[in-house]
Amino acid sequence: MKELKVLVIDDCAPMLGMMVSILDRFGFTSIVTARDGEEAFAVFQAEKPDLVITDWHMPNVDGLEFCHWIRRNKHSVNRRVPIILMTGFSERERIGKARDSGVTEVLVKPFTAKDLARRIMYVIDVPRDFIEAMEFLGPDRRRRPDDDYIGGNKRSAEPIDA
Amino acid sequence: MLDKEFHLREEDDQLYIYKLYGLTKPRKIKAEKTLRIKIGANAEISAKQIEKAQEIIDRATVDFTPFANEMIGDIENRTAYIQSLTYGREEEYEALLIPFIQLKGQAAMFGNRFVSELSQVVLSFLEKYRRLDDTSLEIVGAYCKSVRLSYEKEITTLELNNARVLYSEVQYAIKRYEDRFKG
Repeated sequence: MKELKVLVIDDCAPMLGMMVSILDRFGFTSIVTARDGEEAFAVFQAEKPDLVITDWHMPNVDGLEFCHWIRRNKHSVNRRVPIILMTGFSERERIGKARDSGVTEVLVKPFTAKDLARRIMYVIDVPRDFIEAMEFLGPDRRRRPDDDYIGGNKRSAEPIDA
Repeated sequence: MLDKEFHLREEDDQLYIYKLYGLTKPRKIKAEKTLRIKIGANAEISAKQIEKAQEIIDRATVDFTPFANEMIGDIENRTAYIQSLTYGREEEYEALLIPFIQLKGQAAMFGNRFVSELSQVVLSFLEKYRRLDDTSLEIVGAYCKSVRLSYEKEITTLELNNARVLYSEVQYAIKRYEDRFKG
């Protein structure tokens, strides 16, 4: 895992420290950190990480706002970087909101080392197509074809391959 | 430092580009296994590495009490403020939830499953009703007392008798609220 650079963002210092230690045990050697979304902007631009793991709730700029910025700002060094969002929320509606903001994976806290490893490997091995639309910019939210679905097309227009 | 342009959060380049060029169709960019190529075909996080990482969680020595006290203080202050409002209480709802989320998510990561589980119970209740009336704020108050007491008495799991008492008190209060709501 030493070839990948990871950016971890959390305003809770003990949690940030724990994440760095866990990633270190996973074999990541290039780990950069930030304490909120605003600081993370600068680190992201300078370090160009391969993977971002961020908390949702943080002061100043939160995880969703940071994700929105990465995906939509023309200055972003990597709009399609995989983003794993950590949150204590587990309600469906909240998770849906996170996905609509363009996060790649959601990791509900508290989690185990296995949960985190699974998310990271999923991002590595099952990358999702990236959708660019006026209202949405992020990984395709349709993970698998739903053969049982018999309703109409929920998308206003099918995306064209770029 | 970043230049000023980066901080214009309301700026939405994507919308601007779409409007500028009159684009209507979304674009799909095919996924590539960029990260897998970087790390090589056989690289993985091994079971041994996961086990070692889990030890960090299981043996976390960081004292989470100051952080928990700060969060509880935040909840108590917000609750007091909300109680002083005669209207517009629901506008404070999202802000009130944040410390609950933090406690639910992080207490268990630092050895206190009791606080995580109790936070989940109250969080589910608040998310279900989304009401900040006096009774629901009393439940929030009971929760704060239980969390403070749990750190004071070093109650970390639900298996302990006094933990179950604290937990049940909050659960009964929620049950009473729900019964009244149904009636």
